[in-house]
Amino acid sequence: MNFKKIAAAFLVMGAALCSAAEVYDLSRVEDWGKRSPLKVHGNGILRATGRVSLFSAKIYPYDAKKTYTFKGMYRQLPGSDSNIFRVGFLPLDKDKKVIEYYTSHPNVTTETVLAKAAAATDNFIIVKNGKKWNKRNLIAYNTKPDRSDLPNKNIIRQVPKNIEQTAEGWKITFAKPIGVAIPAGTGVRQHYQGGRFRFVGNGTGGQVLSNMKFRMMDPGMKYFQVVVVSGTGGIKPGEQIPVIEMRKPCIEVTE
Amino acid sequence: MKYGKMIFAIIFLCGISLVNAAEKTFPVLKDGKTVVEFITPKDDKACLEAAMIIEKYIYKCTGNRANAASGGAKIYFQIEKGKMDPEGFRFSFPAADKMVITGGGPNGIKYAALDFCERFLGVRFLYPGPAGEHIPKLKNLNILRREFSDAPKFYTRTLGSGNRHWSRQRYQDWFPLHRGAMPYRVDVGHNLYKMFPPSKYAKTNPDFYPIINGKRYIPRPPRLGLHWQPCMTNPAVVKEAVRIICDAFAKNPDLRTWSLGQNDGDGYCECENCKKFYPVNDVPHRFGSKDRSVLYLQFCNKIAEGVTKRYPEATFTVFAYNHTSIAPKDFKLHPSLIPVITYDRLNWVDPERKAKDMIRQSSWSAIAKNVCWYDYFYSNQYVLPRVTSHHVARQLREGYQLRVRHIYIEHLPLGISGFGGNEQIWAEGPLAYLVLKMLWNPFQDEDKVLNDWYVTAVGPQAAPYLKRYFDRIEEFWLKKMPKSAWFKRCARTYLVPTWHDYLNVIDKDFFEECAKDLDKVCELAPEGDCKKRAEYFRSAFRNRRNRCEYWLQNQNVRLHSADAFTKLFFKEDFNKGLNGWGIYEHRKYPGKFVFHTAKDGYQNTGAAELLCRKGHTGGIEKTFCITRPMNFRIEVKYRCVGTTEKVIPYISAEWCDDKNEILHSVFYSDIHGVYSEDWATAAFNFTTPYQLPGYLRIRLCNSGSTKGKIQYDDVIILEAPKK
Repeated sequence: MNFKKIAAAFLVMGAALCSAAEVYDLSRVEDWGKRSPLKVHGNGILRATGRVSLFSAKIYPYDAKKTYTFKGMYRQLPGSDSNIFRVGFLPLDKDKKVIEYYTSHPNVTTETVLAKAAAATDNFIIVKNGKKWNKRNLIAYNTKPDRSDLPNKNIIRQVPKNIEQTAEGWKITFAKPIGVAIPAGTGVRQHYQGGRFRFVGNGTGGQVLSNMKFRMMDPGMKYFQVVVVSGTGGIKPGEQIPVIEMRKPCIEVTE
Repeated sequence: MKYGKMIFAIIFLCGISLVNAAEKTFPVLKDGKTVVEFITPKDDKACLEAAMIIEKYIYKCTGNRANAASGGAKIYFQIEKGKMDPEGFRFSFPAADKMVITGGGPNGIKYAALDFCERFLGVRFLYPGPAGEHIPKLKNLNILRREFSDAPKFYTRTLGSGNRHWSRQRYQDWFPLHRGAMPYRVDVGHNLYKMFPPSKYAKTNPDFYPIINGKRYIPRPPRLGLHWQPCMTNPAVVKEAVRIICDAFAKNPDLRTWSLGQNDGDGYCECENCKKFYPVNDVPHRFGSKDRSVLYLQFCNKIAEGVTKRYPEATFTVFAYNHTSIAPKDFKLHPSLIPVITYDRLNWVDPERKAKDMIRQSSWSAIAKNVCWYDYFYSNQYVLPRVTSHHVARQLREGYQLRVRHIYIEHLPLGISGFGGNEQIWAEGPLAYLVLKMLWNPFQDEDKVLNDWYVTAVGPQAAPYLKRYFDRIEEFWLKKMPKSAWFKRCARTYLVPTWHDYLNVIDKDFFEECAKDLDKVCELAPEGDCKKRAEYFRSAFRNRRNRCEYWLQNQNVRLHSADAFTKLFFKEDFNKGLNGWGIYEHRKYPGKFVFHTAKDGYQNTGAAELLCRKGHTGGIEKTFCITRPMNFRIEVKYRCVGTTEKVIPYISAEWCDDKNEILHSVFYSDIHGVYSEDWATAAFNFTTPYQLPGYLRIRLCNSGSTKGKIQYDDVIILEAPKK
């Protein structure tokens, strides 16, 4: 009888342990690298002064099926209310290389193929359908309609200078040669541009950020590094140097 | 020797009392630096945000960040849910070096912090914008160690400002500082159209929609949210409503209130089952609508019964408005239903109207546990600031006695509001400040609150003059305005802010007296923030005075004889097409309706034709840039072809900004033509505004008929020099 009760208790404990969320602790100064400007303030509170970009010392594995939540509380001390602070991560691929925004954010409505082969010295390409193309986004090639090419590092890092419909197709003209030869029929599309970091929370002077979730981020993302940025807005007249504060920061991973 | 003993005794007693005083105080600031540490519970965002409010204002008062080392005095923040009102709070001092700030919930702890800033730091949030914030300079601060607790008397305290919009942002950032923050205890508004959108139910459940004139009415744009109600006796509608609400409550554990506010307008179902709940004598009640209270309330009762089985703490608001204004006798209202009684209570200045409203109020109080008041300030649409501080304070006290526990006021003091322009001038002085304070506690002395506002705003010497200025405006609204024809015409749910003829009863020397008071305020206000505020109030007054005087002048010009206008300014005969006239169309009614006829016009020449359609309002327009002060007369020929007699041909003259947006309703003049099958002339006079250059927009419009067309021809604008 007693044995049954003990076994049941163990089972319950086991189940609880299995279902317990995994936590990446970031609450110590050393969790943010040896050269981090963070200082411990009072009861386990971390603070950094001025224009800072804080990176976690460790790189964490990422599973697209799981949900990641920034726990703890993040704020900026009063005195520099117009400055914005941001909390997020740097996405990394299987080789722990940075996934640039423009490699993984396609404008899906621009999916098409090259109508005519392009030489590396050409400063234009001719695509079959350029109706939805614009002059703000970059161009990816060797694309696949099911987007299994993402992250796609085959990028012409220029925005179109001109887009016009011709008898052969849509002529996309650039300021400089495209620098790569692409055969006719190759899949092409436009990709959005953006910063390296993916921020999940932005706050100003009076705000406290907490419980910021992210999941299903960049395709090909296998690891990530935590990033907190503060004081990038400079110091406005009458304001003080920004101070970012983190209270028990950590990341909780749940199914 | 005798005196020596006495002096010794006095010094000794003073010493003891000083020591006692020191013991009874709690140190916060010393030499401009914070000497307390703020301790918030781990992971409690609301507590940390509350601490941040205090830190922020300490920083503003001292110029130093709260940065006390641990080991000294401490202020603890905590939330005790269920033990006090969720918006209530308490300050306690369990030890000489320990202060505990307790909130009944996230709002409670936030309000505690705001109260701390006002009570102990002396901060005041006088009006929206940085100049409205009063920040005293502090070096030392010791607060009395006396326990204090507070909670709101009215549970919902909403001074509505409309949706988020840049032009309303200053106000929307400001009023939460007066504890009018969300989440509100009750949700108020027209909501049935949101619960039963035709896009979701029209195909699968057409029986959800009403029978009107013997046919099933499925709402279509532009009337998706107007002039229809779901069939209120259909059990499937009730069942679906219960499901919608329960699902929303299940998703959001903090949500336990729901608006069952009917859609605006009429459109009640006329099926046999619904008709059973119509009154026997189905005639309009005193607000002009046919009574549908029993039909509506039995429907709401059933929904409330269904939801409270799962969520017994749920509350619902029901509108006492329009067709449901009057409570049915001997009706058993579900205890979770809160009637929202809509009325512009400035009407109470008339004892007769007040007496009638009190009868209505009593009828609702008789069947409901507590009630909500819905009021209308419509501030930015009135050209003379509608300052009625004492009147509102008295009303709130009476309301509380009548078991009113929720207040929703359509305030709209800043920003866009249909016909009001992007108003950015705060002309109402202390009104919103006082109302928000009285909503927290209507039993405080309103004069004390107002005097504090005046003294803080412009300093003690200038304060009496500022008080006299606002008192004079209040006196107009409470004593003069009720004698106006405007007030008589506005015997309805809300007074009409865009009709400005209340100005007809204003005293001749009113503006001069106001100007004198404000000049004195500017003269006596000390340099710095007080002076800036004084000048701001004066500029706001000047702006409003100009508008009022424009309206009075325009009224005067309307009476001028046609003979006074001799010089031709503009002529349009439409013989060569529409000739550059633009089309003005309400965005809800798209479709071509403007045409040109080459031979069917006045004396068989060209004319513009506007087709009439159901619910349609639109027309053609032309804009002119006017640089000189001038009086104008516009004359237009029109005729109605095949329209109903309800057709309204109307011509308007509006003064706009350079973006073609009307400046304010005060700058609008129009004339409504009468139905005429033969060519008739509509004409009126108007004048230029005080600020030139101005953009004059002339519109020729149609409205009111479901068929036929209106033809316009021979537009003539004549001018006369402005004297």
